[in-house]
Amino acid sequence: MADDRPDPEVIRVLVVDDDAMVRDGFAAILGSQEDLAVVGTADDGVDAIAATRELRPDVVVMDVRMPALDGIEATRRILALPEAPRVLVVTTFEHDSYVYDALQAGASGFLLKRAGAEQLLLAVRTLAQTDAVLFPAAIRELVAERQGRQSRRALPALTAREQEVLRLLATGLTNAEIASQLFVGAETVKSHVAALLAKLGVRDRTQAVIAAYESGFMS
Amino acid sequence: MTRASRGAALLVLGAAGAALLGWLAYAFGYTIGRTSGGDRAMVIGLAALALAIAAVVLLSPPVRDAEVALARPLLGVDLPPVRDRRSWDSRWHGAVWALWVALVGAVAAVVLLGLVPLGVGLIVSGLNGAGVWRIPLGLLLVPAAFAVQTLFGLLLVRTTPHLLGPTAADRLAYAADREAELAQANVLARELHDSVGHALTAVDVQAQAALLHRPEGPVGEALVRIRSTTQRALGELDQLLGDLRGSADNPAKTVVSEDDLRSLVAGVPGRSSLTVRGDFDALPPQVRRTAYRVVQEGLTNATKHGTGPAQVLVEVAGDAEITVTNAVGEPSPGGGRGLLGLTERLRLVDGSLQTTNEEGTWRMTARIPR
Repeated sequence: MADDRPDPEVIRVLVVDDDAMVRDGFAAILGSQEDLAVVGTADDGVDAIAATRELRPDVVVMDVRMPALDGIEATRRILALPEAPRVLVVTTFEHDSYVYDALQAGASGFLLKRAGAEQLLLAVRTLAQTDAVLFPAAIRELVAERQGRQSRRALPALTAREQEVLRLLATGLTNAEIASQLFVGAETVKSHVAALLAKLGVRDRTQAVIAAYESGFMS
Repeated sequence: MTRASRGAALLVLGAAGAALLGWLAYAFGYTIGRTSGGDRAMVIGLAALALAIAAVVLLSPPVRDAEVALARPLLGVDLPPVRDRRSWDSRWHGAVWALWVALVGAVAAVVLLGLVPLGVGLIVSGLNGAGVWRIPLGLLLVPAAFAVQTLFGLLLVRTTPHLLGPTAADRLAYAADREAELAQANVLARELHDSVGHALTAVDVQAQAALLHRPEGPVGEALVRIRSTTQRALGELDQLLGDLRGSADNPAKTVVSEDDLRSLVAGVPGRSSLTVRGDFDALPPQVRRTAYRVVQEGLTNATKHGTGPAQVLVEVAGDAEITVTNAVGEPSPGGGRGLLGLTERLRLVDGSLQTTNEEGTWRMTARIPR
């Protein structure tokens, strides 16, 4: 697998989990697919950063709770790297408060470890190949669960078009899908999304979806 | 300790204390009366000093604590432990109780030491011809003097809880203790939850990986069953964590719907049935969650002890009422931990649980108020 010039068709995945059984299990699942390659594994956040630098994965499958450096901080630092991969957070429990923090740190989506092999493969492929937000329904639930604890955040003034784009984006559509829904070009959507992220003061689509739900714009 | 003797020892103690105090008061009074000038001033000063020392000792923090330790065995009263020693409320109560015991003890002693000789004197003089009526009166007075002691003892038993019982600060401390215990239990529950959760997840992921090879026949079926079991257990753990956190800082999350009940019943071997009357999903989330546990526990019991399929009836009319019935063969011993836990859970929400076993039919009825 340590090919100097990796096959661009193959999605390179790094699996990070402190539990060897989970790590090896995920590696076995991901490694069984033709279009995926597990380029490495790591058992804590520090290892994960070093492995990302060295192995340049497309997707990092990241556990949240780990010794040394947890998944939240590791995600933050990995995403600060040049040509950062996308991060999929995997978690044992649905009610894990760290998941929200991991998403705020820039992870592109989260998945329960028990969701099943199909879901894991779907998530990794979606992250590697599209710009869509993963599992928007799960994000909605996560936000709803936290809603009681914090005041609603206000959304800045958005144009009608931006509102439309945000609505579609929050349902998990890709730029291309949004473009075809709105009968505009993909480049136009891209610039709308960029403007949207800037106005919302967020760094990625996942955070935009969180903002949409937290403000009550989506419910 | 017999009822009659309760307080007797304390009365003696009180009387001894009172005698000591009385003797000291008499000695100082006598000396003050017999001296004059500088000597008198010095004796008055010494008396004041003795009084001050007595006050300081009586008002010192450990007094109430020691008194509670003394009162518990001697009076047979149930006093909660002293947590508040330093507040003035606590110190005053301690001092007042000591003086009260001395007073009651002194009166009891005077009654005893006065009435018994008086009675004996009456009998003797009656026998000597001073009047026959003196004899029965004397015979009455002597036992009465002892009987009255019981009343004095009862007086102490009755008044002590008011004087030595918990102060406001004590009650606050008990509440804090209880809270700390709960927090500790919470931490333990969370740790257990985490370790079991991670182990189950590891098992589940391994089964996922094995299933990717599409094993045929019994192996494949076993893996699927492993996965469904770990998933159900993890789901329950998730709910538990939600509950734990919910009690801390978060309103409960909606998780259970009528569909969940259906899949729960459908997941049981045999042809168990579910009938829902009324709008289950309109119930408050915590009622639905409890209802889910009731159905789950009912089905577990039915499969363990029953012989046929179970019928689950959920009726929503204001409150929720759940009835699980199924046929049983031999009545099996014991309700099991599950039902005990369920009873506890229902008690927490002011609900109730009844089980009957009549003519070969086991019936469990739970009521959950909304």
